[in-house]
Amino acid sequence: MIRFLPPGTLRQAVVYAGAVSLLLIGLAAWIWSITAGQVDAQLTQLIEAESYSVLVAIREGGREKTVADVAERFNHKPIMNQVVLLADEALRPLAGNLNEWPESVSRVEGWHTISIMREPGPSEARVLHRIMPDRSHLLYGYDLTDFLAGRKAFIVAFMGVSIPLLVTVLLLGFFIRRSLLGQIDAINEAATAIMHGNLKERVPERGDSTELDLLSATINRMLDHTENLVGGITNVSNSIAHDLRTPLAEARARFERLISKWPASDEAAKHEIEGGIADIDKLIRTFNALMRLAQIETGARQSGFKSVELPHVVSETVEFYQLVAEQKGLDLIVEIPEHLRVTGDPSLIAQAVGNLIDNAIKYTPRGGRIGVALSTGADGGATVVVDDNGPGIPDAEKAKVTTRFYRGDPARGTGGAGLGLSLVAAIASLHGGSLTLANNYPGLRARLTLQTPTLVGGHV
Amino acid sequence: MKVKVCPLGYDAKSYSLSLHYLTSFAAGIARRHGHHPLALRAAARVLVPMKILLVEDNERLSAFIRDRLAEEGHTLNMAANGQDGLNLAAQGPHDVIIVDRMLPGELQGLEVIQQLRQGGNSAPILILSALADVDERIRGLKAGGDDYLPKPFAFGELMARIEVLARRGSSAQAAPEATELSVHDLRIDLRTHKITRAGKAITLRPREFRLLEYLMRNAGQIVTRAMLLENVWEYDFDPETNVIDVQVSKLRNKIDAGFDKPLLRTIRTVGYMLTADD
Repeated sequence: MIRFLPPGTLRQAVVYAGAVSLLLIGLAAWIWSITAGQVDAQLTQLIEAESYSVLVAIREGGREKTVADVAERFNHKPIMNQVVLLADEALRPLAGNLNEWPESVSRVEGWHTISIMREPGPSEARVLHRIMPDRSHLLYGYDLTDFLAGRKAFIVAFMGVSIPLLVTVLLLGFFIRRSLLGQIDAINEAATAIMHGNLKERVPERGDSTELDLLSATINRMLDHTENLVGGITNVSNSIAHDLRTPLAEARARFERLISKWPASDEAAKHEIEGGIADIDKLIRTFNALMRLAQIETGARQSGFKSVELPHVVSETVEFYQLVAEQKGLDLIVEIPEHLRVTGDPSLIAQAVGNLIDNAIKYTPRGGRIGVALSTGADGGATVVVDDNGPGIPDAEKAKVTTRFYRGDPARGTGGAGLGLSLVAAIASLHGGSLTLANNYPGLRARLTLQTPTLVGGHV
Repeated sequence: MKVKVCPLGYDAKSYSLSLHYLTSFAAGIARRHGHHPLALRAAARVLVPMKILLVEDNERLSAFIRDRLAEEGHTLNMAANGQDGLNLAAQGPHDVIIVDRMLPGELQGLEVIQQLRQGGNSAPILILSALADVDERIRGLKAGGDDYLPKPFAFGELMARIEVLARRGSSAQAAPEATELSVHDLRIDLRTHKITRAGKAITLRPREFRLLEYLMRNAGQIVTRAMLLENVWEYDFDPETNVIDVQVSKLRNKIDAGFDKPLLRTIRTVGYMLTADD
């Protein structure tokens, strides 16, 4: 699967590469300091010993004999890369293989690195400046050409090893991570599908017995179990539908039969029986609403999702409640764009919007106003806002009103099973959205969001 | 006179679309029974004894329906499984066949309906089911059913639906292609949307027009709130509100107020009926 790596992966790769590079550089510095340091120490000792022997020769044999010895040994020829120059008090060359006293070397004793010309090109030399007992000056040192060449070879060799190593490490890391991510993605996708109610979804198993594969297998076994449990719950609720609503309907039918046989003159008794029927209807309705809520929460209805033209659904729903709002003297202000499509269940969306409008009508006092506005959400989803200037809901209760059977302040109760807002919240969540209740100063502002929208341009 | 456009201004289009759906649905039934496109005067509600077939495995429910139908003067043939149902259906014409969606044995309710239709049985079919899902409803209608009633139901609801189905299957029903409907002195012209009562023009909103049209097409029969929700508003769920009652009383104000004879009646605990009978 080809996919864009998440930003975290790139950052991690950079950090990883940096750490490996630092380690390699550290290793190189360490190896270099061991080898080069050894060479340096040996050279230093050698130079000190050789220059001391010149000093002894001058003290014991005199300047002329020593100059002749040095000239014989070194003039015009480099010997074992040794750089030697014996100069008089005025730094004029007396003998050795340097043709003049380097400008950069002062009259004071000490170590210096100087530039020299030699075949085949310029190089550097490390030299010790010593003042002899007869006040002549001795420069004694080594040409660093080989040493520099060695250093260069070392760097090339080290790079030659470490760059492929670095690339290999990074590629390995990348592929291992991508393979892990792939597996984790598969698990994630399966989990998301299951969250949306597709309990048949399973995590792919590769059968290679890696820890992740074992995890996939475990998750799948867990899902089998969950599917069985959910299936059990569905069976139980189907049984409830079958077994408990049926006697209620039978009781209702008996009342209906009774009322049809009752003498027309006994109006009071007929009224009582009608009250009984109304009570049973309320029970059946609550049962139906609960079943519907349960069905929505299992996510099974997502299988019937299709492209929904929201302006049509919302305006039809508004029209449905318009007369009731008018009767209560409520202003119904509607704001609906021409086109706005989402993927969803039109019947459920209508019910969600309807419940919000119904709620607003119930709780807004005569003469109030209710607004219904449909718009494209900030994150691309669709948003339906139903607001009113009624009493609103206290902040402390806002989170509770979407739980089942919560009725809030009993003084506000004007019928209904207390399932209306739970249904809206469940429908929103089925559509990947949410229901949020806010203060409208005064009143309630219910905001229903739905995801997966596709805007269609053009006009009617 | 024109139909007054709803103040929100978005109703006219959806109205015509939905009406098209309704008429084409009804036309399908009419074709099955070979009606002629005629303007018919809606007949008064007459209790004609009906012969009904019930395919249902719940014996208590079957017995209950049988007793209640007997009280109304109808005959009920009962089958407890799909095969018995098919056998009974083959033995004679029925005014309405009622089939439970979930049956014991090999044959499920929908298969029974499919086999009935394939066998040329054109009796109106009412599906009963504890599965009150939209998908289930659509699947039931696609299989060849004419109406769908989720369990549990009120007997009044069942009776109202049986009668409407039986009337669709008989010639008393106004043909779907009719251009004019009338009950007593109330007339509506389906082409021009002109509505008159005793010659006086009445103005209705588009949805009110659909409500009145549905009531007039089923004049003389009880129409339940659920039937109105399904057919006039195309809602497949209970909106838990008295919207229907408010709409009907508003319509009643427009067509009955100021006239001697009230036509739109409320049938207690069941629904409404548009009739000129006393």
